[in-house]
Amino acid sequence: MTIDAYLAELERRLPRTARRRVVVEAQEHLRDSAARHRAAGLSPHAAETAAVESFGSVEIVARRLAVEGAVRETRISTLVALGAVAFFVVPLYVVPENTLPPAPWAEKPRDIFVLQLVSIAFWLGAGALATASAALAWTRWSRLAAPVLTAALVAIAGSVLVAAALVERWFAAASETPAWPLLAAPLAAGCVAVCALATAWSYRRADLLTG
Amino acid sequence: MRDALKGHVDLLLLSALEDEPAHGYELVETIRDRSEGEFDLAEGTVYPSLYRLERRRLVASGWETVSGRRRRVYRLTTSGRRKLLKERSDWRAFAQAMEAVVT
Repeated sequence: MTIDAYLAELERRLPRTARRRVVVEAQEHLRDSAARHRAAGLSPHAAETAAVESFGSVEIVARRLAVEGAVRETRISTLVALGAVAFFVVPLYVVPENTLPPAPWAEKPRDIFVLQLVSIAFWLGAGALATASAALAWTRWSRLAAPVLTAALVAIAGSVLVAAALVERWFAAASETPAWPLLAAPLAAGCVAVCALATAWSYRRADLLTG
Repeated sequence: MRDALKGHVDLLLLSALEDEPAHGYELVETIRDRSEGEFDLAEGTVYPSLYRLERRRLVASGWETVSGRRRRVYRLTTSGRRKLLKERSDWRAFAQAMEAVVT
């Protein structure tokens, strides 16, 4: 196998995010190695073949590099999910707090109060789970990060659903309320979508992680 | 010999980086030369090990232009140097004990 063919095969087998650096390093390495073999008397073609053989099986090298990439990508995806869960405070609290007029009731209806508490509890649970997932990604138990992130995703989705019920109830109790959910809803959906993408990404790499 | 090296590649790489920064091929050459050809690593597997050491902040790396070619050059960090001293001490104790048992 020539150096170019080896590099093309290595590039094809690597995750897109790891390709650039690895291929440049492998190319330089193989060129040095081939030069050493030529200096030892081999023909250019034989020197390339020897360099490729010394570098090792493309399957094994690509697999080990993919494992390293998986560790990094799992850390990034859990941090992205944690960021999305943290940002959920904007549609859950910041937007309604800053756009709603004073409440039209002297005492908050009990069902609205309960829905608020449940929604916040789900959100806090999602935050705790996302934090645990991000922490796991830095340990030898990084393989567990994806399932814990799934639990965080379920919790944040639960928070959104309860918040939607809260909005409906709020409108029923105070029909003159401005249309603030038009701003909060897309933000909440965005948080869930980012969380879901990060979870899916961490699962794609989980089979490469050990421990 | 390659199988026997499994588990020791990190120590070999840290040792090879002790004196001066080097790129991947130089590290393979250093290990091969110091072992007088006995340690003939599957050269491509050095890179995942280097990336792992970098992730653990035991080595740091950066692109440099050497003789007109773009190279990723690795260097020991302070933590890496501490780790090397510890691993070397552990290895000497292990080798002494093995020597005492098998000879």
